[in-house]
Amino acid sequence: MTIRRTWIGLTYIVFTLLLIIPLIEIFTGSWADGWSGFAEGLTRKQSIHALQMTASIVVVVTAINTVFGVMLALYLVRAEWMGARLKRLLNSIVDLPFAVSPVIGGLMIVLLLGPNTVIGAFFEDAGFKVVYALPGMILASLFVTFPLMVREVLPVLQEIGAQQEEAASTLGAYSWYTFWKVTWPSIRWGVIYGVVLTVARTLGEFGAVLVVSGNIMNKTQTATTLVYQDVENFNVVEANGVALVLAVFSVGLLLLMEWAKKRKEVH
Amino acid sequence: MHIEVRNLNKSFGDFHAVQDVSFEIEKGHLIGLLGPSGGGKTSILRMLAGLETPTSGDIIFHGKRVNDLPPQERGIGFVFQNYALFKHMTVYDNIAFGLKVKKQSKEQIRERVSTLVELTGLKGFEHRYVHQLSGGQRQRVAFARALAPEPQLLLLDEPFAAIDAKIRTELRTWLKEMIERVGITSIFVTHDQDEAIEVADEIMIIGKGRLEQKGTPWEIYKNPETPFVASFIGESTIVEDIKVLKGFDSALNYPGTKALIRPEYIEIGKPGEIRLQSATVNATVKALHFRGSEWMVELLVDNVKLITYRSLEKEVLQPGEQVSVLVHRAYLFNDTDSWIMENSLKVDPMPIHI
Repeated sequence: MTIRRTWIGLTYIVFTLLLIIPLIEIFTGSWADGWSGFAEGLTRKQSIHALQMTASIVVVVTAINTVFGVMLALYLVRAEWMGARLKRLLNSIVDLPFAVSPVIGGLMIVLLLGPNTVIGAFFEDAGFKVVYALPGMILASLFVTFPLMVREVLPVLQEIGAQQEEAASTLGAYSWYTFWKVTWPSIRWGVIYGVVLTVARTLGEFGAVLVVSGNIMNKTQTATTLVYQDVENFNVVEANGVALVLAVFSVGLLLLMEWAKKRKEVH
Repeated sequence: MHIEVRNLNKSFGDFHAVQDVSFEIEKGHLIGLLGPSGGGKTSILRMLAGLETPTSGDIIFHGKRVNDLPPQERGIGFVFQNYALFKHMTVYDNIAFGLKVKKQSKEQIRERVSTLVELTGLKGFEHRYVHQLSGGQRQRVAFARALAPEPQLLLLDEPFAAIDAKIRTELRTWLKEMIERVGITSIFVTHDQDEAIEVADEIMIIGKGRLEQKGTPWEIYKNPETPFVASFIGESTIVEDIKVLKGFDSALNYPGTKALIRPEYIEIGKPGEIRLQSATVNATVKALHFRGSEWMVELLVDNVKLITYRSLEKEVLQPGEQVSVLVHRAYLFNDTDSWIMENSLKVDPMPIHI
């Protein structure tokens, strides 16, 4: 009995040390100079730019990841024209970003598409800068978040099976109609869950983006890399302010995620 | 719809699921595809529906080859084994699905759905979701949904498999009536011979991917063309050594011949009870099993086991008791041939001397 209590107590202590105290610390840190300090930190040119940058990356990455993640999951589960071996290969490649460190992922993009490479030079000549610009940062975030949507949707598709879709086809419905009327209602909570995960991961991504962006203030700086730079420069209040914004979003997403998870289980 | 299938083949990798199957089905008939699980019945059904592509062979509806038509354009209705109802839709929306796809007017849809709801006895359940229905009701919804777009051919994959035994018999009769009333050509798959015999106008026996025999249930029962069919339809025991059976001596001229004997071919009685004493053999009652409406009797004739049934009205036998056994006929087969033979001693060769 006492041993169990000790363990429970220990769990609470670890939980408090790792999660609650840092959150309180961020909160009080950002308010150390009162409202004006907090507001000033957030309305700096670089803060607004970084938050906008993060927001646009989140929007683009989530949109692309949702469409292609759902498509790939559909192909991996349903496509008959794809051989079993190809499916297995693709299935394991999907998980690659889980295994590879984001920094390495970013580095791969730089090595492949950087200004000194053939492809990178080609794009640069065409007036389209990839690395050290927004496209590269989107690519890096995509690389990191790609498995999230596929891994959410794929098991749901496997579980519901192909029979409802086959039934729709014998009733005269073609694939587009069948997807929206039959498949989508079954997978939508999985997709929403995947979206929440993707948004959360993109918001918080640091390593891959840092490598690819070069972290140029007011140009390629995101919220997370700005926090990093502020900390380096001892701008503690400003760093805490931006971090607080990110933390609030994360908590909101967490609540949304719990809600989506419950709905997912209903269906 | 008149259906013709010519030399249909289907392979999954090395596995030859359907081999050279050919048949014709007349308009309005109700056909049962009967065979053991994994025998290729469902593959045939799915190829007819267009859900599976044949490796070779032709499928012809109404004199037109439909191999290259997708399921959407074949004019078929399909009832899946687990019904595959749309879970997030009500009964009404499930049935209306095929009509909405065809972009029929709301009025038309309402009319057709209410007709079908009436026909299938689902009135009052239109606004329920699938998980609020019983197994039998789900099957009715699946049936109504498949019929809604007025298909020319109805395909049913093990339509009763997911329903408990008691309601199953009820639903069988219901389905047969329903299909007769609608007058639609239908094919259903089953592994249950009682179901096939009771429901189908004609049965096709499928074993190991081949069509073994096609005919009315009575024809198939009476004249099974292959040992597989004989053993699959009805109950039977195989007797390897036919010497122990009296009255089938002429079959001994064909080496390797075995006999298949059905319980209803066998008559048993206490010594002296059977009139044709000369045609009987002696047997020991090995065991008795009560089967609800009769006794199942296990007999031993020289260590060969036979099974038969005995009326509850007759005197009860005891295990170990000696009885006389008359085998009226046997289905005989060897590697090259198979035939049915009546007991030759039943027609007494010298009736005057007795």
